[in-house]
Amino acid sequence: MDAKVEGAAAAAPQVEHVAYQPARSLALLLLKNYALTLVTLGIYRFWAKTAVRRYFWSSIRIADEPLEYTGRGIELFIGFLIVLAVLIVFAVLNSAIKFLAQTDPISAAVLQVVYLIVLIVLVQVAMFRARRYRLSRTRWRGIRCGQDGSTWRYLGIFLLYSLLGIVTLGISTPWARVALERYKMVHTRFGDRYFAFEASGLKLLPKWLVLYLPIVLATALIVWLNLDNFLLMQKLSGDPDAMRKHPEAAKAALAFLWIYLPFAFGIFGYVWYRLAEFRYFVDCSRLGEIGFKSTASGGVVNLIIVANIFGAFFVLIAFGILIAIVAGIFAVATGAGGAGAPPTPPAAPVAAIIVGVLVFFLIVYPLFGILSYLTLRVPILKHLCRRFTFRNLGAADQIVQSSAPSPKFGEGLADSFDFGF
Amino acid sequence: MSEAAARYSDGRTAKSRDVRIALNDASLLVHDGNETIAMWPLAEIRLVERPLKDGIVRICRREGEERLTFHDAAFYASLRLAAPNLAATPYEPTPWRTLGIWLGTAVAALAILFAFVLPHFAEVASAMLPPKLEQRMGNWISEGVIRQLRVIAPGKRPKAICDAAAGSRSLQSLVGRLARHASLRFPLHVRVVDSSMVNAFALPGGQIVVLRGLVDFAQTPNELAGVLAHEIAHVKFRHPTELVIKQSTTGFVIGLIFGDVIGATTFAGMGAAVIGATYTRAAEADADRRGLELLQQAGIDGTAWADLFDRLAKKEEAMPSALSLLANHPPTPLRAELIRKASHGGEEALSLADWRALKEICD
Repeated sequence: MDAKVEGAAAAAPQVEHVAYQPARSLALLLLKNYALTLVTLGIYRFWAKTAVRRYFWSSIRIADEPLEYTGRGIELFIGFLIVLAVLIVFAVLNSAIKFLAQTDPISAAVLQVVYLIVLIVLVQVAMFRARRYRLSRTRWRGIRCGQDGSTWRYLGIFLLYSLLGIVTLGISTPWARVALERYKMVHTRFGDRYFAFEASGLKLLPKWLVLYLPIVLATALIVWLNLDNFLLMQKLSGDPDAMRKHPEAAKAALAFLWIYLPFAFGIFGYVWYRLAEFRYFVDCSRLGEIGFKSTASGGVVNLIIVANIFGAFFVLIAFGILIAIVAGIFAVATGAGGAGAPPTPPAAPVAAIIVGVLVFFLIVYPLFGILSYLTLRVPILKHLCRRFTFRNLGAADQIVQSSAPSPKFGEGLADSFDFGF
Repeated sequence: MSEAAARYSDGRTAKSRDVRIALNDASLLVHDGNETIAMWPLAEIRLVERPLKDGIVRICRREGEERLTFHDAAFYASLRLAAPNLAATPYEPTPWRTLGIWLGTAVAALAILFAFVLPHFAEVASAMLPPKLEQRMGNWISEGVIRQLRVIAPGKRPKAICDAAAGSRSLQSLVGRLARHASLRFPLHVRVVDSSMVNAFALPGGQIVVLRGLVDFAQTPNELAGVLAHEIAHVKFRHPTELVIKQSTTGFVIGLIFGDVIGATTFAGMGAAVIGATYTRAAEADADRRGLELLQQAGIDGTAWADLFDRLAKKEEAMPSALSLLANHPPTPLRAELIRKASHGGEEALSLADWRALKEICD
């Protein structure tokens, strides 16, 4: 697929691999983070995130030297405090929508669209700024990375291409991806040296279409085959008793679920596309004379994801069985149930439900969070690192520390949208 | 003197070179084979991070950009003895001042939000809410509230709503009589729910939920009429709508501060907010005053209402319950006194037969 002619760099270029070498025990770190986050009612999350980043940065080695993360929890915390005002506006808007959705679906839908647009714009701003912060706190051999460029210019590019995307029904997506990546990359520096980025949307188009066309066609086909059902759903929407009154409504609702099928498979297609895009973007980036190459495979990443889906499924089943057993023990111990079932909900099942909810939110949910690192994120990161090489890294010797200023505080907005690490 | 192989970056270029490092009394010396290229005072040496699993140790100077990387465990041991501040933070000191300024600003912003903006917003929003919407909101909330109630304080029967025909008729006639002069925006929807709690509350959209515990506890129709008039007054002033808007927004903001991404706090908070509805003192006083007016306009004696408060206070003294009428309506003797003083007398709210029927609404 990526058959590249290796003739260009004729004089046997020096190739350096990236290694992933776990810095310490991640499981212990995540457990500690979880405990402290719980005890501090969530305030520790800024320090937790910093510790996790530091772990990953220290685990990634380029030419045998680990990256270094110099960010601090307190910077993220102050960043969060600074954007609190923006978030409060969102809080009010969000609760308004939640109410309207229950009472007036039409106004809620209009407001939801406005909310989503503002949210998408804010997410772009937040991601751009978060990237700047992360890069400014990233060092290799003591030399800082950095990013400049204007957030508003970046947002302008995003909005322009989003508009184009609407007009072209999403076919122009590769051009948008390239334009945004280019703006980020050419404003990214290591020391005083800026990256160069030479990619074209056209080259990505075939891969995008392989993802895009089947989803669009399958969705269109499903809608066409189930048109009656969808129209019925449309007619009955807003009537809470529809299911009881019209037996065919249940069938229609079931048919409605088919619409999700292409998207479910689309996830794997999307991963495949993103990996192809990643390889292409890596290939198109340069830092002075230093070149990059990735041979990361979408198949491998998809395999990791599938394994995780099955794993999560089994954990959930195990949790269900555990709850059933606990509820059973409760019921037997308190003598509830039996032949003459009491008319009111007896105390034992209520207690079991409360215990179940607590166990879920305090143990199972965080456990999934921790497992998602150990079995999903780390394996993917490992794969990306091991399939990543540098050409001509020796040229880094000429790169000089930059005196450009770094952002003082953390990511603020980005924290609230939770982008993981 | 201990010595080790290391890699050194000078912090000016991204070049890394093999060096020998050694310790003397005052400093760490970096030697490139020909000459000493750097000298770090021992007190300034910091760990970049705890040594990595495979033994890599990274050190730097305080707030400095030079980096040294080595593997040698013996050298690390002697460095730990020699460098007094090795484990201290390598960064510039914590920006306490900035933290203080922003923390203060954030707390002030939140205080303003909760004390002024949210109450006002809730007031404006509930006034602007079309009656139809408010009714639908009330239906939706009451479903959840009734379900929660039945879990917290279960009743006697499997059915949640008490609707014996004769009892319902007397309840409706009492409500109709009280509401006649209230000029409400929408019809009242009063229901008795089979729950042991001694309580009643108003929900958005003209919904009033009376719990069986209160019907059982009331000794005369006028006692119940007093509570109903009070709740109708809340409906009139749209207090429940304001409260729900305020509470849900508050829940979201709190979730935001504590990083609640699943929204569990908002969700759980909403139902609890209505059950344990705590209106402001001013709102309660308004509802008391308007409730008394409604009683008087209907020609019902309000004194019994004060009696109910007194008896409830006695019961609470004996067996306090967080779920009673008093828990969310501050039990001030003053309140009963005010009611008693303002009452001009009047008749019984229901005939004996109707009252009996109402008492049996759950049977």
